[in-house]
Parts: sequence; structure tokens; C-alpha cells
Amino acid sequence: MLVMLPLLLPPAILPLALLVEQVPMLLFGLPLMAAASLVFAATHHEQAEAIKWAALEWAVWLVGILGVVMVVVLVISSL
Amino acid sequence: MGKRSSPATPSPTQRRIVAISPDDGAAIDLKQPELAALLAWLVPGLGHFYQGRTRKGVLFMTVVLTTFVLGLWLGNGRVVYASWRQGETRWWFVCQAGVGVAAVPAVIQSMAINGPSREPFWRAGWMTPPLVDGQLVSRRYAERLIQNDPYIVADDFWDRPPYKQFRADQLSMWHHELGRFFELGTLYTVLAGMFNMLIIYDAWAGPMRTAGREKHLAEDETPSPATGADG
Repeated sequence: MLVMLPLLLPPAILPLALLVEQVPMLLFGLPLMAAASLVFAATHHEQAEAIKWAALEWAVWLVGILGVVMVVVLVISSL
Repeated sequence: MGKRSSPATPSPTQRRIVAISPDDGAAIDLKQPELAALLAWLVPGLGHFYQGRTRKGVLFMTVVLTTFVLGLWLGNGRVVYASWRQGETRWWFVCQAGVGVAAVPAVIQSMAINGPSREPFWRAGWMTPPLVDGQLVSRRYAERLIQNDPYIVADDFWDRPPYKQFRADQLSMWHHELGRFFELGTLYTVLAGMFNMLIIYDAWAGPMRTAGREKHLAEDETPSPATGADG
């Protein structure tokens, strides 16, 4: 796949694409959790300060719940 | 001189539709909620700009469009397409269409490649559905694919004048080319569309309030039997 990249992507973003290849799959979930936290918070509040703290709370819940799910999956897969 | 309505009963033209902010109890003027909801679907955050809720509009526009564009980039522009062919129905597009105008090119590309011209409207092939075995395409598009796509060769087409007939499975080629990034790009773009569903609701009805918090507030406001209604 790395060999095909030069044919598919403009040279300007090729180094970034090569970097992305090295990122563990799990880390691609972090921007999604940040986006979900912001959207959930902003659709439940109106003031900026309240949105900020609610986003933090949502992020903690999301990371916590998904973390528990990941641990359970890892334990089951190791059995 | 015309009649004046009493201040206690505003005329229909003076009534406003407002939501109550859960943070400070302030009224949020929703203006025309249906129009705001439509604008919010067309461009994420635009409905909030219309209502004067500028900061939330900027936040929603930034988050949703960034997520969508990131998904497109991860999937090399291939993960957002509209296809309703039997055996190749792209159900994810129903969620991706939640971002509004940004997903409309996929519909146009699908109609173009399945229409009389047999080639995408935008020649770059952005948001075009993958070719399936037996699909007819224009000679020009076939030649462009052979030149630009490293996975497609001349032998992948039969000559069917005035068209060319594809005899492979382009979706499999995409999966082989992109690997995990096809699913990842799909996930990002699908979530962007689903986020906008919540944003459309916020534009239409204001911030969501949880039932538990409302019940708690109602209990606080109810006077206890010992003190009576006068407190």
C-alpha cells in the first residue's frame, strides 16, 4: 500500500499520509470521541462555560465506557 | 386607527417561538424553527447562525465538517457514494447524507454514471459508486480509469460499442487498496452525518433537557405541606 500512495495522493500530503499509516488504529477513535463529546455537550447547553464542562464530562464517560468494553473484549479474546 | 391587542395577548405576528436555556433560564429565540432545521441540515451550523446563536454555529460547523472531510481524506474520496443496486446498496449513505449539501455530489455522481452518459458528472470520480461486474461505462471514463487507477487494466473491460463493459469488482479493489482506512473513513463520515441529526434538533427545539433534571427541578419548586402555599 505504501508503494501505491505516490500514485494516489498529491505529493504535498504524502508525508502526512505515511505518518497516518503508522498510527495505531485505536488512536483514530480519539478525534471521534472528542467530536461526540463536543456535539453532545453543545446540544444540551447554551452557555460556553457550561458546554466546556459538559464536554469534559461526556468525554470522561465515553472514554470510561469504551475503555471497559475494550478491557472486556481483550479478556474474552485471551481466553 | 386600528385595534391594539392587549399586552397580555400578543398578536400572532408578535408571538415568538423560544426555548429555555438549561444553564441560566434565558429565552432562546428560535425564529422560524422549521427554516432553522432545514438550514442546519443543508450546512451544519447554518441554522444556528440564522438564529443568532453564532458561537454554537461555529462550533457545530467546525466539528461536523472537519469530521466529514477527515473521513473523506482517510477513505481517499471513495467512502461517500450513493448506490441502490441490488447486492450493492450503500446503506451508510443514509447517515452520511445527514451532513447535507456536502453529500449531495454523491447523488449526482450516482445518477450520472447510471444515466445515459455512463460516466460521472465530475470527471475526477469523486464520490462515484464503485463499478460492478457487467456495468456499462463510457469509453472516455474507461480510458481514464485505465490511465489513473493502478488496480484497473485494459483487460478489465469488454468492448460493447458504444460503451465498455466492466468485468471486475471495483469495491474489492478499493478495500484492497485502502485496507482498514475504507472502514475508518466510512465511520468518520457516518458519524458526521449522525452528529448533524442532533444539531438539527437543537436548531429546531433548542437545547435538550434531561428528564431527570426536569423532575428534580419540579420537586424543588413544589412547596412542602408543612410550610403551605405561602412558604
